[in-house]
Amino acid sequence: MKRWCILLLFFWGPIRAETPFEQARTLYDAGQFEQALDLYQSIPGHSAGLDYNIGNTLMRLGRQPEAIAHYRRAQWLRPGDPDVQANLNRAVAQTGAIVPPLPLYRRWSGILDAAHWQLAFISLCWLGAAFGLSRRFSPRLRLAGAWVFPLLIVCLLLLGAGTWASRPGHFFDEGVVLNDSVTVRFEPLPDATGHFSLPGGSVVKLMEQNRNWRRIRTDDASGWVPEDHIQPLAPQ
Amino acid sequence: MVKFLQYSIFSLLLLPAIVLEAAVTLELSRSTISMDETVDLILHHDDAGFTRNPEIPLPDGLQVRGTSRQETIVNFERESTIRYTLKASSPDTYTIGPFTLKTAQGEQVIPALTLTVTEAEVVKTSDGLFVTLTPSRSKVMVRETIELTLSFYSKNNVGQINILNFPSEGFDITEWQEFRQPNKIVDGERFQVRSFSARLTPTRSGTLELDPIFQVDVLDPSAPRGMFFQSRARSVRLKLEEPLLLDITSPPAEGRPDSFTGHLGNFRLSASASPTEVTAGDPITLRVELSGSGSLKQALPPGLKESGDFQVYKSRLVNEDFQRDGLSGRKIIEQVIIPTHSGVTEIPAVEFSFYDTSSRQYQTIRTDPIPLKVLEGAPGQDRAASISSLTRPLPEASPSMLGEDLIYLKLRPGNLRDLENLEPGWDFTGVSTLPFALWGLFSLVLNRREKRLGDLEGTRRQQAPRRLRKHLNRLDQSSEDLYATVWTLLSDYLGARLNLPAGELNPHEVMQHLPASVSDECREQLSGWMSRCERARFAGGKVEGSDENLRREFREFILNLDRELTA
Repeated sequence: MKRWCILLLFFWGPIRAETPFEQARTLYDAGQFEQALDLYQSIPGHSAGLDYNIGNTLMRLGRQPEAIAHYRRAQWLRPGDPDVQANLNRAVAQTGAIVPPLPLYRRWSGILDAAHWQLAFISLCWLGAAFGLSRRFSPRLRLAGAWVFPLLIVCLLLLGAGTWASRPGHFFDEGVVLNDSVTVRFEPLPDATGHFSLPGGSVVKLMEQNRNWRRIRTDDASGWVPEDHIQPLAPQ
Repeated sequence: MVKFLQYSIFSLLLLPAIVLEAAVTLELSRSTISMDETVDLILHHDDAGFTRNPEIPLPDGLQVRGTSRQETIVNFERESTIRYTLKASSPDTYTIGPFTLKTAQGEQVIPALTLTVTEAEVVKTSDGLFVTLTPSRSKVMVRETIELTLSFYSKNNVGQINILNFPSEGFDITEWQEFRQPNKIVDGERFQVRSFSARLTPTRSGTLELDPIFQVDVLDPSAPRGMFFQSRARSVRLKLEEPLLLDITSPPAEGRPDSFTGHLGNFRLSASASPTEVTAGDPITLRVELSGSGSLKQALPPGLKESGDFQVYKSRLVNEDFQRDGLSGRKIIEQVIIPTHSGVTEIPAVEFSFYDTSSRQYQTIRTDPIPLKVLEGAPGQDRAASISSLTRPLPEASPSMLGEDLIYLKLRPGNLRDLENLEPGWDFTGVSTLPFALWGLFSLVLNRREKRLGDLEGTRRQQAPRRLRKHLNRLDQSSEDLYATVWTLLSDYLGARLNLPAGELNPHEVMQHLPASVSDECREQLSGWMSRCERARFAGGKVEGSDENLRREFREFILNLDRELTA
């Protein structure tokens, strides 16, 4: 049995099938960006790494605004990643997009991803409860409660704040301008007066919808754009 | 006589009020000072109720340089002194007051004071002390930097030195830096020398006259030492023997290039660009370095000018390094330029003109053109129009960078998750609150257990019905004497239920402890059963009726009693 296990481990590397993620990278290296993109997009789930690679592939295909959407999502998922920031800067430099910086709370909470914040919070809840219960059986632990409980409350507040700050829902109301440039209008009508224009790749806040028009907001102005000109960051 | 007594009493009563009236006096520490001195205006008062220093009306030309306040309490009497340090702006005779001062006790008129301010005595030499100011060159050009050396020659130690009226227009000057100088022999006499240097850069042409006055503290070894044995110093105002005249000229008009912007010195220029293979409309970062010495602080490396081939953006200074002399060093700018079409083959040279102060002629230096490969851009792709991104700061490039491109793919995707599932929902709330709920539940159970362990009576009472049912099951199977079994069951049940010790279990005690909820009928039945048991146990009475009937009767009775006791 042991021998079989060693043999299996020995052959595991060579016989292990390439994952779609790795296959996509092979295609990317070969310059087959369309195929690489299809493969990346077929991978279920989301991660900063996957969005980053999709962003890179879109950049190679010259689809900068869409690339910015993926870089932006990767930035939200992993705010401290310098690669994401560098490639996003590059895409922004090419399109002239207006991309606001991530809010301070997300930059702070970027030291862990959402799942880890939640795991840490839940673990601390269990630890705290276990400690509270075990105090009944140990006089030493009962004494330690005087400083452990305040500490526990502070940690729970911090982890709770981190959990809240890292939740993906914060960027579900963001969208990216897809076209080279889009005119934001005062009303959701094709012949309405233009309010301002935004370069492709600009990140905006999505507001209400009216038929196939979407109201968007930037730092200092808001208006209506056709819905198909905007790619929401929320998973479709 | 009566009237005299009345006046006397009135006067005696008034006396304390006169004594208590606050006395406010104002005086000058000196009545005559010179222009370089200050004088103290001293306000004495005995608790005049000044919460803040009162404002003294001063004539024009006198300014308050500072105030201080001192309060003393002697024999429970408070005396305050407020000092106003005054400085005159010109020599004159100044009259302070008269004016009225409001005190807590009322208004008080302060008489006038006179202060005479004379010209300060300025000497060129004083008791073996003189000063020299020497330029490295007396003929300089605008923006040409020269060094000034200021030396104080003294036979005694020189303390603090202040420069009083150094002009400040027409040139830039650095801080005066002291440097070491050995003692020097002048006219056969040994002098201690304190020297300072500064760099002066004229900013306009003409004659610049420097005639400063120096206030020098000279330590006098012959004077008696102070309380802490420190040397006494006297202040001397000194002038140069002759004012220093500098002839500032402009660079000659002859041969002046069009691109000359007034810079003097000796400079070098270099440029680089990245990337050098681009698509039309893609941005290129042009980096221009200007190095050398001269008016580098005021100069800026030139950038590329707008042309049909390039769209250019405002350059920004990304680096500047200067040597300790502040004259030589380098400055680097970066400029974003965008080739507008694929026909562009090079980035043209940029040039910089300056007046070479060593060769005394104008020079124009140029960078080499940078070869460029520009590919045709995608149709309709007007990326050059995206100005906002190019004006925002780009990541700084290091000097060894050869180009810029995307950072490569991630080799692992990381944890792939459904983003919507990452939202903290009910499951998260449940898993987070569950431990606390369990904690509460366990605590409740443990508390109850602890309470039960501490309350034996209650526990017995609580367990009595359960024990009764267990015994009743045994009653049917028991082969012992029926009344003995019934007695055991009754004593066990009633002992637990009524919390009675086994020795006190007799009909009388039991009846007394039974609660009011038990009916008379039930009481009678209980009394009957207990009597029968006692008879059977002690008198050996016969059992009336069949065992089966008695068991059924007893079962019905005891269950009824349990119900009534529970109620």
